[in-house]
Amino acid sequence: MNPDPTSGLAHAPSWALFAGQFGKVSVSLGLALFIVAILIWAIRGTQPKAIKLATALFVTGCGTLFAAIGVLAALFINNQFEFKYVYSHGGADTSLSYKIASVWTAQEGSFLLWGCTSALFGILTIWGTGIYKRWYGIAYATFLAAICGILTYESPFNLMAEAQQHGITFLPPDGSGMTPSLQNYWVIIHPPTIFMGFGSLTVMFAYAVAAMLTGNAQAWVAKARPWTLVSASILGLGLCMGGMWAYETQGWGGFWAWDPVENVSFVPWLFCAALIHGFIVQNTKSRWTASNLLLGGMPFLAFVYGTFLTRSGLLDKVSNHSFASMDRNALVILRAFMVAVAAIYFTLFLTRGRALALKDKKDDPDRGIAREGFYRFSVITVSLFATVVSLGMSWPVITALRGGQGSAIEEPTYHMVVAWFFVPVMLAMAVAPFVSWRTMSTKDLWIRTSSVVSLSAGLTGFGMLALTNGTYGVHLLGGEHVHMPFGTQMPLVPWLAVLLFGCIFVAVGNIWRAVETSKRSSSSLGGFVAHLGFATLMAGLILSRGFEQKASDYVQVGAPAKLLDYEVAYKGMQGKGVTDRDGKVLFDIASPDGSHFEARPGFYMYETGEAQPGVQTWPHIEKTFSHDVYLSLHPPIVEVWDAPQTLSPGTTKTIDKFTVTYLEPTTEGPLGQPGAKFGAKLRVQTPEGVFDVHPTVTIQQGGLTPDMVAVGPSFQMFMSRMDAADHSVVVQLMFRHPLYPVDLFYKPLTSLVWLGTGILTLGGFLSAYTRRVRRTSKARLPLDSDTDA
Amino acid sequence: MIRGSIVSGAIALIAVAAVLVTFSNGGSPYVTMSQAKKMKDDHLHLAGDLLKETVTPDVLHHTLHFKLRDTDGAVVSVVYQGEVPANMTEATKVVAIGHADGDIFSSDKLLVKCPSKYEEQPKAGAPTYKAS
Repeated sequence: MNPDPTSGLAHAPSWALFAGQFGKVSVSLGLALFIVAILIWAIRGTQPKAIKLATALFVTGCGTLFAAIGVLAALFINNQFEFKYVYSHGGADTSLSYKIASVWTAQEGSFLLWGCTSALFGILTIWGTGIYKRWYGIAYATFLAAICGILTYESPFNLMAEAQQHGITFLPPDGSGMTPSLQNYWVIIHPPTIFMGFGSLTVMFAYAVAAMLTGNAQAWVAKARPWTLVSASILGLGLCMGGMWAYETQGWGGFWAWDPVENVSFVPWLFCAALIHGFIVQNTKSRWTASNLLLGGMPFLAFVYGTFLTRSGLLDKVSNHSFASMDRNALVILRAFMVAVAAIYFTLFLTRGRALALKDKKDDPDRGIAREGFYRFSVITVSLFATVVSLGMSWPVITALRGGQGSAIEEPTYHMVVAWFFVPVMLAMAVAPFVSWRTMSTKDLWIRTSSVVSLSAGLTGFGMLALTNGTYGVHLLGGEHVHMPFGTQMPLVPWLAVLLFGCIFVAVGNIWRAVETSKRSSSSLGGFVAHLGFATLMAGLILSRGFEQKASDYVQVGAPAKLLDYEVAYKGMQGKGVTDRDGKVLFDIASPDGSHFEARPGFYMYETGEAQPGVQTWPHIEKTFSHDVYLSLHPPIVEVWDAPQTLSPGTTKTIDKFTVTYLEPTTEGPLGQPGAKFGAKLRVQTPEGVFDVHPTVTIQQGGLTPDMVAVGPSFQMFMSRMDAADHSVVVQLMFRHPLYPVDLFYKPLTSLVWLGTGILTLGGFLSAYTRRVRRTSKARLPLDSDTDA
Repeated sequence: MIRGSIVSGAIALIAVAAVLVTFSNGGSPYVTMSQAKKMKDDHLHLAGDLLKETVTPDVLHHTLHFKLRDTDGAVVSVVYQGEVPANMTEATKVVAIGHADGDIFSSDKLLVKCPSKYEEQPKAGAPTYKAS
């Protein structure tokens, strides 16, 4: 890094310029390798030597993506701000973990991350594909080639035009830094997790395509099933982490807001869940061949569609996540890939998939109640729900087609619709484990489930009593209603009881069956655990939102506020000044039971390059098992008036509850020279009384220096300027102590959200482990086993 | 088998139709100020570029005054009743939810959008809803 003699700016080191070129070339090389691999598989896909070569090219192609992301991380770590992407999203003073996380904080890097996670699953799966390798490889490589194509246009390795002069590339000393609201530990762990989930969706898609093209629609089930379980587990964990991130940092007190970006990741998870259960039926009864072929591609296709929807700018107005507009060519590739793949997939399904299913068709299902019926019901309901969420997130686009600007679907509307699908699915999830694969009578089913139903009902009643009892929680305000479809309403408490019953029923039913079957077989334990986790998670989300209480007020030094039954008193500041990124505002909170705790919401200010500094706040969450107390801090308020006021001598002005009379101007010292002091004698009437004040401004070397004068006990005033000709002054009234606007949320049983996430993920991985393809034994289960849950 | 498929197909169709009706009724329309003046709904979404220098909080009335340029290019004065969203200072675009009150748009909910650096997935969850 040689400083340039003329500009004083350091030159960009040659290794970095080389590395940037290397990153670019890597991506282009990857594109070429994937295309050659596709061609070899397509043309000479039956010759073992050619397959070997194509596989090697495929794996090398995946390697180029890893190399590219490695280079990008190195550029961030070494502060190479001559690259536009690094300059826009990185900063010199951030810690190492944030520098690495900066890789995926924007468009280009997140596409690269998607490519890398997908490539990773490609390497993990390609050798186990057996008879499907040829078409699996082609389908998989097509997607990775498209990602490489997008990355050649949407490249994170472009140099900044401003950093290049006279053929020399300079190294800007600092970047613009990671957006303050992203600077949180979740930015390090959440995106890689959820993108691992997204990347794994390609596996199911490629298997389904290969199954249709190879003509064997049975063998793929055993191969794709464990990966579907892995995918659902990771994606589910990623979704939960996203919710936790929102909860811990956003300050609106919730986990899930039905934002389009959230829905885009939720829909593939729903399809994965449906596919898992479809596989169970095909594995056990050799039916559902066609529907599984269709479902196999849905998680991936839904995610590609969602990515297109959110990145294309079509939802620009609706989402809280705004995206930089994508490079036109990159968007063309994404759109072309989406349209072509969807068209090919559905054509394949209609022309080959259904024919394959007819070939393998087995007898009609037995009459009466059997587990397959429950699975069919659940899979259809979950798939429909996924379709409905897709419709909801596309609604602004759909309605805009009719002209005008379209309309958006928001949380209350989603909640109306979700319940229609949620309640039936929960009932099926609770009862299905008690139903055998062979038919049974309704009476037998009732005998097997009656104790579970009674126990669940009892627990629900007990739970609702505890939750609505003031001794345990905060009293409900009473008379609240939830909006139901078609303009109807329902009282909140019975409605929450219905939803809670669904969760408890699933939990009790699955624990019951887990205990019953554990003596014979543990292979279905993962399923029971996952269902228990899901029920726990849902109970946490429903109760913490349904019984949520919120109050807002201002807190000031010496003026505590009572929010709900909590008394919030300002205690002080912690940190090295207002720009300290670890700065906190301390509040003492007295709980209704008399105990105290200290709330420490984060607060700091940062440069924005504009007149007003930016303000970042983080909520404080006091977590206990029974409830969370969530304190959200808003930027403190110091100015009383909307804008500074101009006053002329001898006039009186009333602004809000304040009346100011300008009595007379004063001057002191040598006029027009340093040391001269101008003042205004003012009479200010505040709600606290009438006060005579004398704000002044002194001319000094650096400019004008105002002094702050007290106006009664609660206010103060300063004068920013005085007109030399007519002696009019500009004054602003301030609060003596800043006002801290706070929201306090009381949220019961949020602990269940964390607990449920853990149990659900554990159950998912346990199932994946149980269903992993073993080389020795043929994974085939006897009919009417109790094993598959 | 066939009869079963028809029944489940019919139920699925009914469910989707019901959802479509609910969405049509429950969707919150995006409008410009000139359209808002003609509509009675008090859940209208007015989107526009925030004119930053016009943002002025009025503490005593718990309100926030600001102007935005809507998609027609009209500059609209908005009065927002409620807490100021924490990232208001970073906002470039806002969606004010409420109704037209003469020439002023009266809002009780703000959806704040921040510059392109906000781009990525990370913040799953999150409208800066501030219902008052």
